[in-house]
Amino acid sequence: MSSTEPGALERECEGFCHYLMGRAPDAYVLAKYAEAHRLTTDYSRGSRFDRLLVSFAAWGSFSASLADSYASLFARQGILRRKLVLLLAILESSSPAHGFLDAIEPTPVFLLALQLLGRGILFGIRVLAISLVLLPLQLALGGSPPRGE
Amino acid sequence: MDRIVVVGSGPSGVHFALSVLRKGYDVTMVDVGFPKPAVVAPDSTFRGLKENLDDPVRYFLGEKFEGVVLPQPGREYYGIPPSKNYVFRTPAGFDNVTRGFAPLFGFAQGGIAEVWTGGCYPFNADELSDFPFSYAELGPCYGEVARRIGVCGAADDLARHFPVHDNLLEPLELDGHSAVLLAKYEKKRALIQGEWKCSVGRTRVAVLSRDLGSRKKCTYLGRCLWGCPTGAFYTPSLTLAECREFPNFHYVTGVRASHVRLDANRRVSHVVVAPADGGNPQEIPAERVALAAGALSSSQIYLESMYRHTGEVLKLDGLMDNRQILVPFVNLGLIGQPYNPESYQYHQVGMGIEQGTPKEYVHAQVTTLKTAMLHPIIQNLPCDARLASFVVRHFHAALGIVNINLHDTRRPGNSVTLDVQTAPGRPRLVIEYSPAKGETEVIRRAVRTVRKALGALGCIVPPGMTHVRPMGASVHYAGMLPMSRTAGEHTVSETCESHAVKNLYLVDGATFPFLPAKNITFTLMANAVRVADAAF
Ligand SMILES: Cc1cc2nc3c(=O)[nH]c(=O)nc-3n(C[C@H](O)[C@H](O)[C@H](O)COP(=O)(O)OP(=O)(O)OC[C@H]3O[C@@H](n4cnc5c(N)ncnc54)[C@H](O)[C@@H]3O)c2cc1C
Ligand code: SF4
Repeated sequence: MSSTEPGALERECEGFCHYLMGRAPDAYVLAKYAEAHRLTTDYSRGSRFDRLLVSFAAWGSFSASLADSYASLFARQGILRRKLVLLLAILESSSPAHGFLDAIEPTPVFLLALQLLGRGILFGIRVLAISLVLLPLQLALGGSPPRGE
Repeated sequence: MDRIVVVGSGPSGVHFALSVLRKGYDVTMVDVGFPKPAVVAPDSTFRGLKENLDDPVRYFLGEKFEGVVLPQPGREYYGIPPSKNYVFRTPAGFDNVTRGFAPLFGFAQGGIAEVWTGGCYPFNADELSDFPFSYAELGPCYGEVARRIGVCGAADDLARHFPVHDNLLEPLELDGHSAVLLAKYEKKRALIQGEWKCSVGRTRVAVLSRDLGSRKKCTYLGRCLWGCPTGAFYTPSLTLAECREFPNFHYVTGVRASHVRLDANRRVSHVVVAPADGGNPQEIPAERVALAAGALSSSQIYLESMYRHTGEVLKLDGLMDNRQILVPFVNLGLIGQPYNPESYQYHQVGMGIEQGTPKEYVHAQVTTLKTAMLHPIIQNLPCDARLASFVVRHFHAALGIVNINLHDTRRPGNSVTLDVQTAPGRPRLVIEYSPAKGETEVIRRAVRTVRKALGALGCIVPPGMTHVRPMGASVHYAGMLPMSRTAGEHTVSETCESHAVKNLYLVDGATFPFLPAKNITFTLMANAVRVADAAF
């Protein structure tokens, strides 16, 4: 999928929203996501590997979590991370989406530590697994240019 | 009475102007002065903005999404929100050359302090020992400025470092995290203060804890960073508005002063200005001129004036700025707790660390995380965005940052001069700075003490996250045309009148002979009031 196809950005935004907060974006978030892509090239310019990573991530929540786990360590400035950061920024600025970052119930520390441990282990497994595929691909196709290049 | 031309509407300029206006002088203020956009939803809280604005993303992230902090190595987390971008607009053709210094310039109505964080700390007698006047002379001016702007704080352990002046308002309500830190300090004082010589207490801030004239006290909307919509938080544009009510005040905005014209007796006869967006220069006659364009811009005007008068390109030594170090921390006791967005957003707790000599005092402000954009933190964590969001959500109430400030001294080589070759007719400012020898060790010691103090307060400092900011980042610029009792080559008198040009006054940081670790602006304002009282 390429973000220049009609509807592609919308599907990408939906997939990423499911991945980040477990639910679909509303029309406002979709519109702002598309507007940002129209106004700047920050979210479209990148290497072939970057574009491939975005296409893979846009398949759905699971592939997004695999691709992002990898990108968070090995392609931090790539388009996928930039798109996710943009979406996070839009979500935290608007209602009702901001609640997913803002509001929490008090959580006992030991419970939180357990949850963190579990999530951390899963993150490690995802990185290991996906690196076997993506690392050689990234080396073959080239990394990400910095912003503004 | 003389007609006074004041250049600049920042904190230095407006307080000088207000004082001389009250004495009946006719004042013309020339200023680039980009205006502030209209206030958005003045009664709304931070969350309310997200819920009620038609286009909240536009407000928080800007028209072109410039408020999104994208992954970029070395980028500072501290961002200026789009609602305040106007402060950093520059006039047409504005340019400078820098080496070892990353300056910030502000050309807004009210100056760069339209984006300040309000820290107001009087210098004490030791810190004023290089100035040609004593604390006894400056103390009442601090009181006067506090009466005008509203400064709140407490006479607590930090009062040993910042004197208590008149008109100090009672402190604001503490946010939850700051309250926890201070309560812990009460229990650990013997260790933190006794052993490590680190006092902890309330910061002094320019915000109203009670109504002052027509300004209402802080209602804890949590919007300070985006621009306080109620005027509870002080910015100099409030004093500019007060000046504009005087019939003897003329505000010429949208112009940039390049130099002053000197007559054969080396007296200023005119201030030369040109439209900020380009155009032909015009001359404004003046009997006395006060440069308050910010230490760098005022020095540039001085340099260009001398260059045009004598053909000589001067170099002014002694540029100073406070080195700042950011130390993020996590308060272990607050992990997993909710936070209250309806709190005052900036620092409420400070640290003062004694050193070998009083002038080496280290100053720090502790900002606990309340309302803020979180995506810059999320994208910085070394894990996927979903896990990082989970972490930030549950650690939000526990996060904070200590901003350590170090003092600076005037040293040769740290200088400003002009480049008159590249664009003849439009000289550029050239700024050069290199840190003092031994600075690394001073930073290491200060960070170690802060870490220990934070540890005793139940906090940890995540490894690898301490960040030494580039020189220029603190925007406490000073020192190029220092006050001196005896006339030196490029010095000013006790009343900040140039020793070289009789009717030229410099009423901003350019005249400070020493820069303590404390934020400078309260002293800029107090000194401007002192000069207006003493010389006019
Ligand atoms: C993010 C941030 C936070 C800060 N927080 C604090 C704090 O907590 N406490 C503190 O003490 N300080 C703080 N500061 C520093 C503070 O803002 C400055 O010390 C202060 O603004 C300097 O005041 P000034 O009047 O000397 O100059 P400026 O504020 O720079 O004002 C200069 C004025 O001159 C005008 N001007 C400039 N050049 C020309 C020209 N050639 N012709 C005509 N007009 C001109 C500009 O338009 C402006 O009005 C902060 C700064 C920043 C950026
Ligand atoms: S919390 Fe900040 S924005 Fe709100 S009223 Fe107080 S100073 Fe103004």
